[in-house]
Amino acid sequence: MNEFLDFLAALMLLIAIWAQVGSYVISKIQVIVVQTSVLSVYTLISGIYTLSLDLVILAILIIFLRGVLTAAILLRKFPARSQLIRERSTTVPSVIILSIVMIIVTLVVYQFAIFPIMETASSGILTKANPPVTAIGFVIVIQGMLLIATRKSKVSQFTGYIEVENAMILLSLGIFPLPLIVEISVLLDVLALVIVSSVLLSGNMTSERIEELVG
Amino acid sequence: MNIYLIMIYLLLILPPILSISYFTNHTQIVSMIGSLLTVFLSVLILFIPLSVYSYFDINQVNRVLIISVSAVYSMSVFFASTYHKGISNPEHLQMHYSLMHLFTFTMLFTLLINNFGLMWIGIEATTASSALLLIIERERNQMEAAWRYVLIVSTGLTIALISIILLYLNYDSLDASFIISGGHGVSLLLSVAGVTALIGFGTKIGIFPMHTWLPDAHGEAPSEISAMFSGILLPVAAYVLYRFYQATVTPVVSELFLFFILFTVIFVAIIMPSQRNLKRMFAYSTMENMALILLGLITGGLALIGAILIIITHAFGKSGAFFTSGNIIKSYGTKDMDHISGLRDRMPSSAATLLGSSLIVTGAPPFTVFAGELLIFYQLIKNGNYLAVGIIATCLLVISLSVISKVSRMIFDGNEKVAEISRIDMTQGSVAMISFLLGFSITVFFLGGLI
Repeated sequence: MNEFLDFLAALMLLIAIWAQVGSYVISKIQVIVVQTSVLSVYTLISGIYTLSLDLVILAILIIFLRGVLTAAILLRKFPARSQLIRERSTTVPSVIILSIVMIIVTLVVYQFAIFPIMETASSGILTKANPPVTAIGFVIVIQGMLLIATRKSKVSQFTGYIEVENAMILLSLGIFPLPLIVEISVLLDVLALVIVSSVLLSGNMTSERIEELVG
Repeated sequence: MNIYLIMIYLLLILPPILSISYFTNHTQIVSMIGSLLTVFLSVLILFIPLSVYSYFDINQVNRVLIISVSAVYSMSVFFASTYHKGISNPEHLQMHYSLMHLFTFTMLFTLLINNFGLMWIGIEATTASSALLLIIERERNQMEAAWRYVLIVSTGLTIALISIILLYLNYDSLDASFIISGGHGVSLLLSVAGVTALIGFGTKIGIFPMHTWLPDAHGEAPSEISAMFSGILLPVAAYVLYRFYQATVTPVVSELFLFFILFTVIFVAIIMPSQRNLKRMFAYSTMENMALILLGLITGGLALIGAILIIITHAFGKSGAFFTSGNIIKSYGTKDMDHISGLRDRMPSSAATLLGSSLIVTGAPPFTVFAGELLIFYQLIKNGNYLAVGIIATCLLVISLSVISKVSRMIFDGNEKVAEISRIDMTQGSVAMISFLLGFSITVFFLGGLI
């Protein structure tokens, strides 16, 4: 079962790389839907495997609040021919190379800086931790941040943020699941931010340099 | 349910109820009366014995913050009543009031809740409830600043979630007072939790280098929102970080906190002399103030008292500075300090409040911020941190001289060209003056031995 969970986590990482590669804005919303769906399946299987009702509830909420509602809110902001919107002036090839380099660097940092913490504590509180999933969680966090930092499209930046949030849930599941009340509140908070962001997306769809905001 | 718990619930329930006034035709008057009631309830809570009440905690730091949150919120509601008089879409103003109430609720919730997970939720909710407050006129600059605010702060706070996972892993509980009062040993796990909390909440507080949203949001927000951000939101976030620090403190975490605080103060000292935008100047000043507050809180002892003094005085002083800035910007039609002169003759009362507020927030003697800084320095020297004291004192001098010289130029230069006095609305002028006087009165109480 653990191998299957690891496979799902690896799938989430591949989806994060897909977000880096695509230059059509619509693909970013697809990333949110697909990655969230995989996360939801991961949570559901973990819940069934550990007989945890909390995780099953969390899985349902993840797919509904993040997979369906978030995507629907963002899609409403697009004109009818949304598939044709491409990001302006992206340097996708160099970002892909940077993305791969960052994956390697993150895994090396994890191996030498974070894994030892888990290893030394393996006889104690961290026995439940799943190192491969935790490592992938860290990598997706960095990939999400890279997406935010390298793109000008606000939708791409927001996709990066959702990716980071998904990675946090994965990390939490990989290390030690938080109480359900906290997990649900996090989901609701992020949903509120999605609604707020959709209002901010009403204006210019790309983040820009403004003279008054310099200095 | 005891009377104290009822008072806490009342304080928390009132602002969300006020936000429903969006659906009535009396939003403004309901907001004003409701905000005054909130202040009244906060004053009552000041007299509650320090203890844990069900899910809530009243301690010596958060009860002071509760007062400052309510007071600045109330002044901001009054200020907004005339500041946005000519707004193009009145519905936006109703929404603005409604969000101000929700924003205040999220801050009060964050301060009172005794659970680390829910504290994080509260801080994240402050972002969601306040982002739209920046865009009342839907201008391009405001939209961009709000976007940066949402994106940078939310992403930063996500990092702080790691801290909560690790805390829960270590203590098997997220009960703040239980964890803090129980004490803890030194472990690598807690160090990582402390560092991720610093990065995450440090983004919200404006700790260098995670501060980039702060000058944009403060600079573009309406003045009453800048006052709420600077005077109360950031100290609330600093309080949360302080609570996390208490739960995770190890020698490594302690040194890293000090390191980031020092870099923040040094950064502000470098960038302050080149500032030309009035509100951005005060935004950077807030970064310095927050760094000092955080330093006082984590140093403890007399420095903790110093931090509390700065929190309360800064809340009123900085609000006064932002309220006055709003009045000046409206009158001159620019935020560029190079184009603002002759304030003494053109706007005499604004000149007085601007100078007074600037002296308060820059820690000029005999104001309480100065006393707070002295207490922090005293404790640092006692702890043997001479280098930190030297660096901070030098940077504070540079920052203070920069701010005061820029403010003095606006007030005292160019008065000979002033043909007439600019009239500002009485409410706006009074709110700015009251805010300054409240900051000043704390100094009087402190010097009189009443605090």
